[in-house]
Amino acid sequence: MSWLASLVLSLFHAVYYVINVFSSLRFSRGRPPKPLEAARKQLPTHLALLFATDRDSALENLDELLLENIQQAISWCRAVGIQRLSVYDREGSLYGSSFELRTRLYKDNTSDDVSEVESEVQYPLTPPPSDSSASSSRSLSPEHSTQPKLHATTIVVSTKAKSHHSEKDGLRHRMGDLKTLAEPPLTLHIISRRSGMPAVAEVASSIARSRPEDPAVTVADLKSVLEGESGFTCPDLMIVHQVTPHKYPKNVLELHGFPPWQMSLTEFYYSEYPPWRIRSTDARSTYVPLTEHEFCRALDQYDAAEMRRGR
Amino acid sequence: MLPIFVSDSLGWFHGYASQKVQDALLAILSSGPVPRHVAFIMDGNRRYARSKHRVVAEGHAQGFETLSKVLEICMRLGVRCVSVYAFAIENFNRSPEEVEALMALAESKLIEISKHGAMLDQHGIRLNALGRRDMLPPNVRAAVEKAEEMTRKNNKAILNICMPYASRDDIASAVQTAAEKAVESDNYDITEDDVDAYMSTSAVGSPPVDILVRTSGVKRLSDYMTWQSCEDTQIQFSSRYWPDFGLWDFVPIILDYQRKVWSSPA
Repeated sequence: MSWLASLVLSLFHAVYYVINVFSSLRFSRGRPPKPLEAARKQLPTHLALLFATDRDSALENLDELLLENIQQAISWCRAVGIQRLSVYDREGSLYGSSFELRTRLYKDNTSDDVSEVESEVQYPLTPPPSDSSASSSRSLSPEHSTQPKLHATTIVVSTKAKSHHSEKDGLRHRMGDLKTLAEPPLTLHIISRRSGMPAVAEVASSIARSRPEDPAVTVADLKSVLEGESGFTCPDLMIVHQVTPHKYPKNVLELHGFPPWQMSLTEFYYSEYPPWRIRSTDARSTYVPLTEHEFCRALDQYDAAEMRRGR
Repeated sequence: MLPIFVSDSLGWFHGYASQKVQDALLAILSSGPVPRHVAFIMDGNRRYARSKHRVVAEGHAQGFETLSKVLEICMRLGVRCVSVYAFAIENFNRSPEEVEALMALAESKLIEISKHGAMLDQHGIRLNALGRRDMLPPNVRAAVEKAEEMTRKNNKAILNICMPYASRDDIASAVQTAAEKAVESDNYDITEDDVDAYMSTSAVGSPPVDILVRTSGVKRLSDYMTWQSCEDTQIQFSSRYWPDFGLWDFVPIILDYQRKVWSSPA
């Protein structure tokens, strides 16, 4: 009778597929989100964007497309007043492109030259982008280092409100400029899977090496390292967006190795019924960008969420 | 109005037919891939009680009935491990009356389901209490330990009751154990697999979490199983309150899982 059960199960899946197609159609004709500039009673102070790809995708210019998309996302964050943004991709493409991203952001957001602004706005603790030297900004050798490698890059970007100034009085002038900015600076964390579970293991190694006589660990200990100046805090809202076309009308949330410590209280947004079956032979057109529409939907979901914090 | 014996007969027939439909449905679903480990965030007991104009404690009691029902469904489907978020460390912030009612419920029900001939015994389920049991009142801690002892020899399936639990606490404990073992063995290169082996779920032999379900429409993990669910776990949010959650809510979740398994490269 197992063949009969399998047959009926196939029928179930066929019916479920049809139900999902209709749900997808109904969703696509649903109410649009509020516009970006609409008033919302609660906004995330820290937003994360998780960019996911299909396992079998082969987008050659993925890095370039992601960078463009992030630049757009930054402009939306600025428009609504979000001051901290984390961008994640599992394989670390963004982490590897962090210098390129930093350069672009400075070109977009300042009237100064790149190198000067770089020295001003990048936190010095940030590790260089390449994986091989990911944490070599710390001078200790791996055998004796007690500093954990968190594999996160942090960039602080100021806005266009800055005035041009000469190199001679750069530092003093820059400090003054920061105080008179029209908008507060935006902090950008660039992270990958290595910033998550592997980083926690690095912290464990570092604790064992630094205090072998007393390796007791509290939540506060881990928090101070993982969310400290070399790490990043828990986002209030995370948008999980697949940049390759969906092949099925219904999407189920997965977190693609996002750092587990930093998602304990995060509100997740994902499109349950995303656009699907997009056919294209052009590699660029198979990139599905995160749109302002989706961004606004996520903000609307967060706006409606009730935060109970255990109560 | 129908005579009582007719309505009783109809009620019996409805129950009988429902049971038969449920049996058939589970047999059909279990002919495809079945998740090894399903975790639940049982949210919505209080809102359920309010919606029915009942006291909060009744909502929690009803929630426990749903847990029994869902556990039965999982076992008949062939799920090897079920984990439930019964009480968060942060839940100690709730009113003393509610905390007391929850603890009393846990104390009585854990022993009840662990008895000889009861559900855990019938299905060969080993009960594990995960989390900071040192924070439990002594009587509840004793009940938890007794229930664990009563089911110790069961080896067909696992029920992890997480109380009082928080993912961050679980990660911190695993990091500490990994660091202690590293010092003992004089091998300081701790990997994520080492930390994973000391997470509370791994320590009691649970397979990886395939599906995490949160009820009541909230789209957060609320510090539950973040380590265990951050990789390729399917996270499902159901708009039902936990006491209303049932087989028909679980069916699409299983179908989604099966589709994922079938579409994954071998």
